Amino acid sequence: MIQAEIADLSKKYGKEVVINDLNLRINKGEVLAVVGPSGCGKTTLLQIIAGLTGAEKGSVVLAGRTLLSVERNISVLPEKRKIAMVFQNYALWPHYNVWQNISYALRVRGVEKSKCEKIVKETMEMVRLEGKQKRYPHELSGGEQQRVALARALVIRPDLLLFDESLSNLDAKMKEKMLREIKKIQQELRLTIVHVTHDQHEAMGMADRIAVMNKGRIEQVGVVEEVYKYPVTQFVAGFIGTANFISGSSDDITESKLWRRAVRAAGNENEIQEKEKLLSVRPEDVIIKREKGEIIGTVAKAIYRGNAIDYEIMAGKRLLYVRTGTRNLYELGAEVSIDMVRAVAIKCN
Amino acid sequence: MKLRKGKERSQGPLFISGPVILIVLGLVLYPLLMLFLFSLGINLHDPNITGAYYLQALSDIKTMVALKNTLYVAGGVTAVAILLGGGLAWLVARTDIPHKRLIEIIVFLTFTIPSYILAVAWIQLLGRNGFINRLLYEKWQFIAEPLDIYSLEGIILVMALHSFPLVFMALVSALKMNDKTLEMAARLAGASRMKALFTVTLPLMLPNILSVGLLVFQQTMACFGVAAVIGLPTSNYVLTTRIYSAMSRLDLPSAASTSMILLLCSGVVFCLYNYSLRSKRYININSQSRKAEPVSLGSWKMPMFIGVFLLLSVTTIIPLGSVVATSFLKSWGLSLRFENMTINNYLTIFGGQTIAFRAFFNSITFAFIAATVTAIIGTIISYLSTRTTIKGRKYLEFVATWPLTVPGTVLAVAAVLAWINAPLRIYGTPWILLITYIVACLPFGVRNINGLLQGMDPLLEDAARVSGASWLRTFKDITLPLITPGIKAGWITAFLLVLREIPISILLYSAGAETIGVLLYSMRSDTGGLETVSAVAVILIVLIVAGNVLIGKFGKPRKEATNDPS
Repeated sequence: MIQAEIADLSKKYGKEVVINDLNLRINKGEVLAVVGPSGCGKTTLLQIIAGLTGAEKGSVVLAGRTLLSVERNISVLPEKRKIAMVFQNYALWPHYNVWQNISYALRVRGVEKSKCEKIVKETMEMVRLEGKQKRYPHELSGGEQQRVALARALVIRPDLLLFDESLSNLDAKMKEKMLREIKKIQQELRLTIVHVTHDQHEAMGMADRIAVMNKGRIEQVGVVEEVYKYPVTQFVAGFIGTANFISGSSDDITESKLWRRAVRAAGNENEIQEKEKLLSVRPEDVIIKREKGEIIGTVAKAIYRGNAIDYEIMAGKRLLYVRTGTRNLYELGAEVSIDMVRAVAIKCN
Repeated sequence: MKLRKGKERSQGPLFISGPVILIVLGLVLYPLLMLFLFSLGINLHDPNITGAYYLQALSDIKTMVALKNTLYVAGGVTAVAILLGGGLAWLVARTDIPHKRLIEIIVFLTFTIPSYILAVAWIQLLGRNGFINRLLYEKWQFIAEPLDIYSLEGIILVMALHSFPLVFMALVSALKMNDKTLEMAARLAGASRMKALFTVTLPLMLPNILSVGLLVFQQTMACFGVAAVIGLPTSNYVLTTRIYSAMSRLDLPSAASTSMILLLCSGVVFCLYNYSLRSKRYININSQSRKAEPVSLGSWKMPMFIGVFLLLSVTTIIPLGSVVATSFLKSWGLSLRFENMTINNYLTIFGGQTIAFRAFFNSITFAFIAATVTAIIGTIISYLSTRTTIKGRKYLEFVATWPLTVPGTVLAVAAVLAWINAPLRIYGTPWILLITYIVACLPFGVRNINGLLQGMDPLLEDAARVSGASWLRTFKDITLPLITPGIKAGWITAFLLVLREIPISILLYSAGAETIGVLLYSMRSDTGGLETVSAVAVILIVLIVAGNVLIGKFGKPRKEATNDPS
């Protein structure tokens, strides 16, 4: 079931196009991560959904209600949208204590006091902030501030919850923990979440589906595994995970050998030869061996990751990213043969 | 911070901007425009009068002398204030001189004494029959000729003593913020302490010194009270007093053209000052840098402190003591004995039907209204300029802060020209005073609030909107509480400014609407009443100190105001 639908959305700042004819559907009860590099328009997208900024074209429909339709001249005020947002810097009100911050949305709506108290108490338990009611934002740790921001967004049980780079200020361990907790709460309350981030790991940690955004457009939407395994464009392949791009149009001998090998790994040889000029190969799909082989390279760099080793292999004139297990170690300068087990044809951009 | 450009974004009721723009243009721009037109000889109401008032003024040797004197005084004051304030700042910020807090408090106290009162106090000390001359010249015959306060150097002395705290405070904070590791690096590179001071610390401080120097220069040029009380008796004119005497001769053309000359000088210096503020940050201010070990004064520690204390005694304690003592005397001239003391001077201010009471009442009323109006307009202008996208909002802010560069004397002349003709004739009524006070105060309202609004993350307001609060509710719940410190600080600054204001008061007051400024100005005539006036001065100083302490309390960066999670 579709909870929200964004159609034909365009937004300009002056002459600069920030959102370019964007379409996106959000299913009820899912976490959709919108990832993209900074400046790709993802924060603007959230602001348009929340009603904090307008658009030149397009519409936003949430739970059957049209929130924005430029064509029909509809623009629901942000306070009437039943959308909640967790901001990047949390935007906690410094002059309100934790209780006042969290209860604000209920108080503004004139919710009866006893009911308000009950909801705030429940929510504070949910985000594990018990006993912190009287604290002021500056008296809280970064993680606690994050929880207050989350609780503040949860109290109204929003139709749509927006995360704007909300976890980027936490350290890696804390981020992991928060992701798990948020996921749990999301499933409990069956919330619909749009999570905007530039961090692919953060996106994968919580999302059911990922939308990869670039230059104001959504390049690909799909479940996490699908987007990783079958990227449709060069941008998506490079942004989600690491990829080696191999082109068929090179004159270099090693490059042509790589290309032929990759085509075989991709299957459907004829089709690719005809239509596409670029293949994407994930580092873990490149195999290196000491035995002599058809394609030869030398180890240019090795980074020990603990559970894996990342190599950069000089093959002809190019570097190839390779990820291997820790069983076989190759010293710098070692000559290795290169093989590939999987490749995907992508659109060049 | 992201800049919002969405024109469709609901910005709250913008209808309020219309009246505010009208008020600002009417009160600030219209009088200055009238002044400009009049000085060119263009008179809307009497087209017959045309002429080159400028040629007249510029060919008048007296104007040129006044201009020269103005620059001489301003330059002298700047030099003395920088030497005095800078030296003291270095001692407090970088050496192990004892009782730093005490020194800072006394300097701050000096800052709070209105320059005019300081001038009168110095006349009491350095006049021909003043205390110091009686000791040094008559009693001890220490000097061949009595010192003469009634000179340009006298003006420089008083204004420098009034201005050096500004330099001191600016440089102490700059020295404290300055990255101390730079000095350490110089020491490690082999420089001696003095060498490091002159090759690293001082050059790094130069932009700060330049900035505050320009500010002192501009303020001295704009100063009227001191120049009047010390300069006028011996016809040592500066531009402000020259304008004043032209006004008292009802020579409007001369007053207008001289005003324009002063406005131009002051404006140029102020622009330089603003430019220096913007361009001076070439040092990386590293707040995490370690505290440098203070320079040890060794055996010079106590003598140095005693020297500083004596100096501050001369600049602050003695003049202040003189005013306080006079305020308790039954009559000026009596010796300081207990039987000559009284508190009647204070009682008359609060009880009687005297002019002192009336002046006090009037000034407080004016100050209260002007401060309140300023706070309201300032809030609206700041909000329009930082939170909306309406066209010309930056110009509005610029016009509202413009009076900062306009000396009070010039504001008064402009007000006379603007409000003397029907149907806008309010000259001769208390309204013209009130309006001109508001104009003079407006920049402080705007600046104090603007600073807070600019530093406040607009996301805080967005968060309230998303939480379900309307624009009005957001303003009331979020914006207003967070800018309240700025509003209060602006209000107090404006209130105190009106209380001690002199040139606007004496040029625009009408009978019955006397103000403290008018009363203080009558202090220079030594004919009686000096005790009462001293009492007024003491109350004024107490109010100013209290107000500044309150501003300090509000102005402190509140910890909760910085919501940076990192």
